[in-house]
Amino acid sequence: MEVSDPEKIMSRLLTDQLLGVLATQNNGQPYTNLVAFAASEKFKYLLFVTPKFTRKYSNLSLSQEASLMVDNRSNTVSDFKEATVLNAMGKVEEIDKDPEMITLYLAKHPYLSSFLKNPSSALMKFQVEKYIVATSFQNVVEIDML
Amino acid sequence: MTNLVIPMEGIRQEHMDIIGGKAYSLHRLFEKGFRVPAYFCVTTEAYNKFLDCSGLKGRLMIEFARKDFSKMRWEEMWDAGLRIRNMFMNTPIPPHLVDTIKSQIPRNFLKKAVVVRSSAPGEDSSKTSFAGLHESYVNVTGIEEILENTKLVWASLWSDAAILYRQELGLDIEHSSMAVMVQEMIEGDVSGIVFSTDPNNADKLTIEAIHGLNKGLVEGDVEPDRWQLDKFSGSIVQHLVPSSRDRIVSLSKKGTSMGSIPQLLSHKTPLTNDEVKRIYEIAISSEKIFDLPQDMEWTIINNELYTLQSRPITNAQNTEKQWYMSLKRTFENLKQLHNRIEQELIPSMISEANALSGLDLHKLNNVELAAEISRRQEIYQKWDETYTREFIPFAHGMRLFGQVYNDVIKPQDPYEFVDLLADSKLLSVQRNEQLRQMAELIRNDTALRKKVENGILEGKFKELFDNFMDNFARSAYVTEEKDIIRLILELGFAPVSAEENSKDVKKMEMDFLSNFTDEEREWASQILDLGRASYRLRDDDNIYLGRIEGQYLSSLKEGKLRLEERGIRYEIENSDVIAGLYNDSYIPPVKPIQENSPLKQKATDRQIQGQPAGKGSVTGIARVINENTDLFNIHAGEILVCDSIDPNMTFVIPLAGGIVERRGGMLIHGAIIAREYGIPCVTGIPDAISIIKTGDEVTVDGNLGIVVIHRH
Repeated sequence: MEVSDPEKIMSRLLTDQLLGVLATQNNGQPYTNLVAFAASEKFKYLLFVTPKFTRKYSNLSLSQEASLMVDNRSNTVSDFKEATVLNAMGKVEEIDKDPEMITLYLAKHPYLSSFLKNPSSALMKFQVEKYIVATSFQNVVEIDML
Repeated sequence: MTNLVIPMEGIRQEHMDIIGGKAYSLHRLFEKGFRVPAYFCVTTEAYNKFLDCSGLKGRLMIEFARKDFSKMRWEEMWDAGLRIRNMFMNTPIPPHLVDTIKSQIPRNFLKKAVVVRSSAPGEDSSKTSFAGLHESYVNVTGIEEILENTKLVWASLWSDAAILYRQELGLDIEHSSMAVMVQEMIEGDVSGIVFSTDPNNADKLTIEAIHGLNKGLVEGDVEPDRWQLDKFSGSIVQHLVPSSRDRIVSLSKKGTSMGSIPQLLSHKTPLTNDEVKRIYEIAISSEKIFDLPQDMEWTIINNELYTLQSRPITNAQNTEKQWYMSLKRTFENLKQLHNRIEQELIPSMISEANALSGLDLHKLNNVELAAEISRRQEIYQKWDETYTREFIPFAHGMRLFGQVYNDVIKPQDPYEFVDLLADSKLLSVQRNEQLRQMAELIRNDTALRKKVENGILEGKFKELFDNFMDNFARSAYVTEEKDIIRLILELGFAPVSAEENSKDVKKMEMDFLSNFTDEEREWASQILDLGRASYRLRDDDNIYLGRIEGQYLSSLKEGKLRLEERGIRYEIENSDVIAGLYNDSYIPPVKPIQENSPLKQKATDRQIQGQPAGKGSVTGIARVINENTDLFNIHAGEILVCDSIDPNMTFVIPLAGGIVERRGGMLIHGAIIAREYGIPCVTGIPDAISIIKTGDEVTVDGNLGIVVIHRH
């Protein structure tokens, strides 16, 4: 396991993991939920899909600031030593469902094709400013993407 | 790597789990010297690889997450089965997998006609028999066709009946898999089945036989000759000759077709006594091999007797399941049912309703009225039972058409076929059109509106109103004229236009029919007609039944009014109304008041997943229908939330902005009428009427099948 190489951890988590915890906020009240994400080739941005009537969508309409946590927990005690956690920070905006973005997203989540193409679903682009990688419970490294 | 394909001669005992029960049973018979058609097996490994490589596994998981199968009604299972089948059809087998499978298929099968049969693991074991649940495809030729039909067999693992059966047996739904047996096609002269032990008499053995292929027998479309034999001696006890040997199933260009039997054969008994004896012998041998009574399919060609399959006999005990299984009808059976419904049952219902409405209940004395209520109750019950027995199964016509349409068109939307059916004029839509006309009159004439508000009906409006009341307004849902007037006034405020079906139906029809050869087109056209009739009657039959129910309820209402005059103003059973009318001194018991103190609940639902049933999304104020009278309080644009939409209540639909329904399915009344009017609709939300309160702001997303309750 490449616990010592934050960039490899970042790459592995963003490639292997299907779901992440998205944090948005409304008037100072944080709100988190799971999203199925896909990362761009160099991890500069992340994509996810949400129905437009959800709380996360309305929160993001009010404030683009968000973070996304991706990890590889196994829900055992070994997680304290083995689990790696990635936190993406940046801004989220709705984008057009153009073919390039659709292809990128569906390459990772082909089963979400109907969900993505649905007229009431929005394709969201998370422009990453910074990644934070945490290993061995308390080791933290920042990766600047700007 | 496990082989994706195993040829007949390569099968070993350890392959049992990956080639499935049907293939393994046949292989055992082959090893014991039975004559069987040559075959090879596409293993469960191929199915699993297909699911993994194509992304279909994830889509199935999402489908399974939508709603627990154990909580689904039969309509919802239809839908789940349809959606899953469509997923399979629209998902190509990845090229590298195609190449691997192709390279392993025995070359001598590439040009011959074959039968592609299901062979699920656990199928036809000593404990379970999946007889008739999964699909088989006859007369398939060429590698591409074999692969396409293999995919259809895989998909049949998720047919509604198969899901129901797995769930009932407690088998793992999400991890089921399917093997496929590809068998050389034997075009038998005579075919049939044999029960090595008669399910109704353990001392007997039963053989059924028909001329031609046994598809007609298995599907119940051709009546067979039947022999009963003494199981121990093999002597023929009885030979029952069918009422007529008029039809035969034979091979057609693609698949099979049913036609008239040549006259020579119609007079000929399909089996000689010697052949009966030979079939008896293979059945007894098979029972000994498997140590269980067997249900075998066989065919004879040029005096050679082939065993096509052998499986244990299991007796179905669950009557609801049997009824459900009986819903799946063949084309031939549906055609007969259609004739019976249109030509006998509906005219009979109409004349029954008309006869009932002709009687003036006010003129009857109490005893006569009591007798009349009982009579009407019996009439209504009789028709209600007919509805369950004959009308509901006819709804399978829509489904059959849907499957044929999806098979040839392979649309992205598995319900695209409904647009082709919606061309027919539903009675409920005609009824709503009459309401719209009256609302139009009011909208354009303030003076008329004021008069109607004050209960003064005259001129053209009165003419339309009387006509409406005569034709449509007597049902369990409408008993008061003032309710209808209130509804028309509301419609008069809010111009609601029924959304015309924007699809070019004629073009869709031509596109559909153009997929068939000249010989097949007549059949395809008949399937479409059947689908349309089934779609129309699915709604209309309820309205006809509603008229009869309305007449029964009118008599009950009259009885209750008379009892009210005697001071009985509390809620009583219908049987007490009758008893009270027969006997002036009878005092009906007071119903005990139900303690109703629900636990205080802190968790509140915010977003609920159901089944997408009407496209589009809308946000509006909920109008929850707890009582029939709540229907008439609806305001334009409100979201109708109800337990289930009966065609007799769809007159309020033009006012609704969206629909949420507890009952699930795309082919239920609520979904059909929502689609007809272009209203977003989500069905299959359990407890919808208790979760959502009148006045809540809700979003109905009919694309995703989600309802959000906004609490500010």
